Amino acid sequence: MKSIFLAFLSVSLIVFIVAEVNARGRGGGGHHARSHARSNVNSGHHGNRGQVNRNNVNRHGNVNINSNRDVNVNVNNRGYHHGCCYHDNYHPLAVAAAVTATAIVVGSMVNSLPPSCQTVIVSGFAYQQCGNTWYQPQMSGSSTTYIVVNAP
Amino acid sequence: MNKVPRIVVALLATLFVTTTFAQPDEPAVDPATMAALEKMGGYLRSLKAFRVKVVTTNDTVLEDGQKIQYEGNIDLLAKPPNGLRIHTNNDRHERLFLFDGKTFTLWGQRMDYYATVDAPDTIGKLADMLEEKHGIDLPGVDLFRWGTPEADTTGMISAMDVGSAVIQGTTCQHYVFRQEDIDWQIWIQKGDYPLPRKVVITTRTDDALPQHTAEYQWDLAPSFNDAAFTFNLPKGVLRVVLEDNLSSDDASE
Repeated sequence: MKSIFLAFLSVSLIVFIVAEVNARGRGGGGHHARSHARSNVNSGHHGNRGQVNRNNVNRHGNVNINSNRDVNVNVNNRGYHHGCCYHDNYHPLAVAAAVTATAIVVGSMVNSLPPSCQTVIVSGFAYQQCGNTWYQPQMSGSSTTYIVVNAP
Repeated sequence: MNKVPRIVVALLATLFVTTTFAQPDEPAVDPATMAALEKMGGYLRSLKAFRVKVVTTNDTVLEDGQKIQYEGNIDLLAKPPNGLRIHTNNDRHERLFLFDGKTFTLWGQRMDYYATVDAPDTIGKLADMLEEKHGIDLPGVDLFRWGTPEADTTGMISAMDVGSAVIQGTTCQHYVFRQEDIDWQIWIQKGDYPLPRKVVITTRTDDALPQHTAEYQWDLAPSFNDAAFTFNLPKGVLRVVLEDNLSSDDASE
């Protein structure tokens, strides 16, 4: 009887330990926004556009270009300045990892610029020139993003 | 031809009568509630000019289902159909939206960027254009859609009056609605000024049920002139483009 009880106890302990380890292992890593609350009751005359999720950030396919990055959530860091560049959307969840030196394809969209960019005005519009890469700032529903463009 | 037994006919007739004339205790969509909503919409559409200050909260849902709430402020001045000035300030950005019936300008005040585009001639059409072409939700857009055909009440699953409540010291009537993608609640001021004083929208398309809340303070006699709707380019603010949903190429205008 005693040996059955001890066996049961050890099995429970093992199960508990395994569960704990698994739980912890799952916890770490990035925190990505998967949706936002809808902020309008009335969605306009094209109400049934098939857009079930009225999340501005995920409305377009090409916004998630950086979605595989680990985003460091530092909840206390609400400062306006991150490194070189001001962000329209400096929210911690949207802080981008530095753009690496790998080739940046024209048409890619990023949330923030690499270091050492210069503002250049072409035909009245501001561009950011960062080394050999040109970015066109664009204002969207929730933030300002940058599209890689050919030199204007 | 077989003669249908009378008992079967009688049973069928009973079934027909009871299902046709059965009265549920209360309809799911209460007509008085829908009428109150329409009355509010009609009142909003009758206003010649208004300024409303809104305090909002909005939930973002993380991958693991946790919700993070952000607070924001909206200061909106409207002279329908073609004057709009909206200042928004929240954790994500501080922006100014300007519309004068011809041009729309968005100034991102923390970035010192602005964008300006040709605009249609009414606020309603502007809201549609911004949504469809640029993926931008006009803050407070419901205030311009209630009382118009753009207020989508088809697919209303339930609507009911849950009684009186006091919001910011004012007695309101509290109504709740269920639609396919959202549940929402509105507190409409009682009396001669049936204005929305509070709205809560629960998004049902995510299991975490994120919410948006808004509390409204109204000024029905704002003082302003038309210069309020024009953009005076401040020094150091640079022009950029609005995100363009419709073009597949790099948007250069």
